[in-house]
Amino acid sequence: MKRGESAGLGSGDWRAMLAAYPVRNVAVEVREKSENTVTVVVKTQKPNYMMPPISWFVPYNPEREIDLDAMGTRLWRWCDGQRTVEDVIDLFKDTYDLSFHEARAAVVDYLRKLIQRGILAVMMAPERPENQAETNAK
Amino acid sequence: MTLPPDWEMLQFARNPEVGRCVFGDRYQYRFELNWKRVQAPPDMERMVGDYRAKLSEDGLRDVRPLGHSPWLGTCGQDGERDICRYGMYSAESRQILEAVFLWPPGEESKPSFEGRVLDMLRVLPLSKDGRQRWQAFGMTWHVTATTVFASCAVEPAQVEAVFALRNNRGEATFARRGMVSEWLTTPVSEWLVQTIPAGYAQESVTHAGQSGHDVCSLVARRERSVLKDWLYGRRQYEASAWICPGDRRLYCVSRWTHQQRGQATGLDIALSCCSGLEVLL
Repeated sequence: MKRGESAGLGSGDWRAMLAAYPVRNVAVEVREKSENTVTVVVKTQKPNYMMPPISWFVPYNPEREIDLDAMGTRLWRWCDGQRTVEDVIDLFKDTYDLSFHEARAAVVDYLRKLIQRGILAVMMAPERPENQAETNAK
Repeated sequence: MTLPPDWEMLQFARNPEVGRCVFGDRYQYRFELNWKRVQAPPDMERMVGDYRAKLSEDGLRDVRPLGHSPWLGTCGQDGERDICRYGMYSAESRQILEAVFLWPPGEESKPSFEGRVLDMLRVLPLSKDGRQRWQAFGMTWHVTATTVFASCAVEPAQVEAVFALRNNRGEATFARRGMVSEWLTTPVSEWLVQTIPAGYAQESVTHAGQSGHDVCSLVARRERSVLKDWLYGRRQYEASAWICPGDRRLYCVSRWTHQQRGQATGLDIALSCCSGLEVLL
């Protein structure tokens, strides 16, 4: 087993992942379902094949609704573009009395699902000046 | 083994013959422990020397020998980071142990720290009553040496380790669950009753206060005996569960065994969540 395989942690140094900023998709519509839960509505792109005669038989919905439970809603609200992944993990860890890596595994997995559904994006942290200088020199 | 409290086990292996555990802080892997059982004591000095030469060939820079008796080591730089490896042969367990320290980029290795970790690293012998002590994932448990480590499931806020008797006539489970306020909607005793395996009937549920913990215990017995129960004794399921006020997690220890009149189960176990409590079954 190579290092990182079981933990899903790649090369063994996950600083870059923790320093990234999860950002909400501004194009989504958020509907408050209850005090603690929301439904996020994502606009979908019409596929090229969706034309007659296929479109006569296959329904196309221009929107996709994603219901978030209370925990998911909380995480979604924390992803405000100001907090890094590490900040979100720390909040989750403190809220639910978890260790850092327990929280990391849960949060990163959930954020990955939100990204796959198109309601969240990840903005990588700008490179540190000293790293930038090194890159330029190369 | 004693490591800084913020280093968590991120990889593990159950195989006592060969395997690896990896620990990391919040940013990177920091420590690896590899083990391999061997038939005869190896020539460690030659082995480490060969390994050192191989590391140099592989591109590790500034390779130099290290030592912390009885450990023989080597240190080198992989890019910006120091990597220090130590090896030793444990005669008690007939295993070659390798400890690897992975230092963060730009941070120099600290031999004094490494020495402290290595001094604490040893193979625990069996206790006088033939039980083995395990410590992992926030739990400390004791289990008889006649068992094998059958399975281990580790998920966020949920850990479960299962040990089975070698003759397959009993099994012990140690579990720790977090985020209790999110999923436990009933008292612990009701939850514990729900864990009774199919085919068993509840016999008793008891409560006991121990060092600020409310420990709930139950006993259940196999409802209908099958041939196996006639041969080895009727199966019995026993479990105890509690929420530790220290970390607000739910701990559960359980076992099923064949019970024959006047005979011990052969599966004595104990689980401890903190220094204040040890629950024996």
